[in-house]
Amino acid sequence: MSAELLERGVRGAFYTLEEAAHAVDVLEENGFAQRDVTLFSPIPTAEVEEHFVRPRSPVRYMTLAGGILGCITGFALTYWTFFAWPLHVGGKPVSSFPVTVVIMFELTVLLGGLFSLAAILIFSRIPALTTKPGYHPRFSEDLFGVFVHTSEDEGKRSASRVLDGLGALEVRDEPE
Amino acid sequence: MSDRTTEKTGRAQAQVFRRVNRDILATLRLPGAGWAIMMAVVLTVLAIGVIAEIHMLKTGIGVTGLEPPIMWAVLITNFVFWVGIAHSGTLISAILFLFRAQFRTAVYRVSETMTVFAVMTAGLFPLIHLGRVWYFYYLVPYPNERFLWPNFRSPLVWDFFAISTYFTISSVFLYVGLIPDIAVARDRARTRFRRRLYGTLSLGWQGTDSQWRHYNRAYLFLAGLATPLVLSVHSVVSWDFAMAIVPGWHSTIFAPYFVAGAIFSGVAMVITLVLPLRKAFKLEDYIDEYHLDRLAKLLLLTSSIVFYSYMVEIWTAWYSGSPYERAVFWDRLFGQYAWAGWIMYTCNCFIPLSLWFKRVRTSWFWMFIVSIFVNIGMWFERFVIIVQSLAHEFEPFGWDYYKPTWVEMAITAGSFAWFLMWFLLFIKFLPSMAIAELKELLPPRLKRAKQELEEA
Repeated sequence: MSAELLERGVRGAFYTLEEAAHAVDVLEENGFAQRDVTLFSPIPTAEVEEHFVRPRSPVRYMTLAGGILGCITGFALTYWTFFAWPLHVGGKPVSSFPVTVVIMFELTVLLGGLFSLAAILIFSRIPALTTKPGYHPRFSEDLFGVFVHTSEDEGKRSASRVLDGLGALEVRDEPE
Repeated sequence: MSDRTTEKTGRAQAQVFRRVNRDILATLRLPGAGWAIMMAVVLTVLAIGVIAEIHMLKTGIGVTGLEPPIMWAVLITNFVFWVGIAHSGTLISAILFLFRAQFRTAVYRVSETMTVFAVMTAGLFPLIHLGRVWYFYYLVPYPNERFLWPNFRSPLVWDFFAISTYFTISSVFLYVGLIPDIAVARDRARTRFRRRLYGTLSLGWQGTDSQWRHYNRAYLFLAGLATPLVLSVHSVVSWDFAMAIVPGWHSTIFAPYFVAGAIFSGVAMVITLVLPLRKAFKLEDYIDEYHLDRLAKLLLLTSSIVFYSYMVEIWTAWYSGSPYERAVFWDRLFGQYAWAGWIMYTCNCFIPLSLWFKRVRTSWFWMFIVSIFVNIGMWFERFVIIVQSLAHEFEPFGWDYYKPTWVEMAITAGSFAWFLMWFLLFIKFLPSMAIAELKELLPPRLKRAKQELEEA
C-alpha cells in the first residue's frame, strides 16, 4: 500500500471518492497547485467539483450559442423561402409567423444539442490519441485515482509522502 | 468513522463496482445459440419485408390496398406507431433525469437505444409510402436551380424537421451517455478487435475530474433540450392529421393525446424488451420489482390519459353537433371498423386497469403480457385514427373499406424485424446498461449486497 512514482508524477489510488477528494484538499494544503492535480473517477463526480476551485464549465455558452444560431437560422430560412418563391393564396399574406415557430424551435434544439456535443469534445479534450499520464484501467472500474503532475524529484517525494500518509494504494492490474 | 471502518466500506464498494462491470460487460460476450436463432428468424422476416418492398418498387404502389379516399393506411400507421415507440426513450432518459427519478438508471440505456432504432424504423415509412422513394429529397430544403423550396406551411415539412432533429438529438444523447461505459469496455476488452473498436468509440475517455465536469454540464443541457423536443415531436406528428379538416382528425386535443399515447406505447415497448433481456443475461439484481413497479405506474398513468382522451374525443364529436364528426365516431364504435376500435379500447384502456393491483405490477409474466397488449392496442390506435377516419369522410358515396395486401403486411413485419435486428446487434456490441451511473446510484439489491459486505 503506497503511492507510485511514475515518470511524469506520482499516482495514488483510493477506494472511495471521499478519500480521493480529501487527498486533493490535503495536497493543496501542502503547496501543490490544483492545476497540477488530476482526479480519475469511475462514476460521474458531481461532488468533486466542490473540491476543485476551477472555473465554471464553459459548455453553457456553447449550448446557448448553438441555440441562438439555430433559432435565427430557422427564422431566416423560412422567411427567406417565403419571399424567394412567394405563394399567393386567397389574398393571404405571403409569410406566416406561427409556421416559422415550429422550424425555429426544432433548429434551436438541433444546433443547441450539436453545439453541446462539440463542447464536450473540445473542453474534455477528446478524441484523445494518447493516454493521460497517471491513468490506469482500474480507474474506470473500481478505484479513484489521484495523480500529481511533477517531474522534479523533490515534488515527487513530497507528493508521495502526502499520499502515503492518506493511505493511498498502489494500483495493480488484477483486483485483489 | 475509524480508518478500519472506512477501509472496509471502501473495499465493499470496490467489490460491488467490479461486480457491476462484470455483470454488465457479460452481455458483450460472444453470442450463444439463442441469440443466433433469434437473429436468423429476424433476418428471415426482414428479407421477406425487403422482397415485398422491391416488388412494390418494381410494380408500383397499386400493389398496396390504397385507394381513394383511403390513401394513407398501414404504412403511415407504422410510421406513427414507431415514432410513438421512440418517445419513451427520451422521456426516461431526459425527463426522468431532470426529475432525478432513480429507477431510470437501470433501464434508460435500453430505452434510448430503442428510441434511436425506432426513429430509424419510422423514418423508412414516409419513404416507402412515397412509392417513388428517389423523390424523397423534395422535402429537404436545399438550394436548387429553380429556387423551389419546401412549403413551410405544410405540417409534413414540420414533421421532416421534427423527426430529423429528434433522431439527431436522440443519437447524440445515446452516444454521450455511452462514452464512459465504452471506456469501461475498452479497459476490460480481451481481444484486439474489441480493444480497437471500444478504444475508438470511447474517444480516449479517462474519467478525469475535468472531463466529468464538462460532461455532466453538457448532459444536463442535452436533457434540458431533449425534454421539450419529446413533447414537440409527437405534437408535430399529430398535426400531420389535426391540421387537415378530415372528421376524426381535426381536433385541438390531438397534440397532448398523441404525446400521452406515444409515451404509453414507448413504456410498453421498454417493458417488452427489458424483461427478456433481464432473463437472458441474468440481470435480476439490476432490474427488480422496484423498477417494474415504477414502469407499471408510468404505464398506468399514461393509459389513464389515453383513456380520458378517447372519452373526450367521443364527447367533443357529440357536442360539436357536426353530423360528420358524429358519424365517424359512431362508425368507430359500432360501424364497419368497430372491430379495430374495440381492440384499441380493450388493449389501451381496459387491460391496463389491471395495473391498479400491485400483484400485477410486480409480476414479470403479467407485465410482459400487458405490455404486449398495449403494443398491439397502440398499433391499432394509429390504424383506427388514420384508416377509419379516411374511410368515413364527409360524403357517404365516398365511404370505403380498406384491406391491407400481403405487401403491406410483409413490410410491417419487416419493420419489426429491422428494429429487432439493430437491437440484437446493440446488446452484443455495446453496454446495455449505464455502468458508471449504476455504480453511482446502486440498485436496491446491490445496495443490500454492499451493506452485507461492510458488515461481514
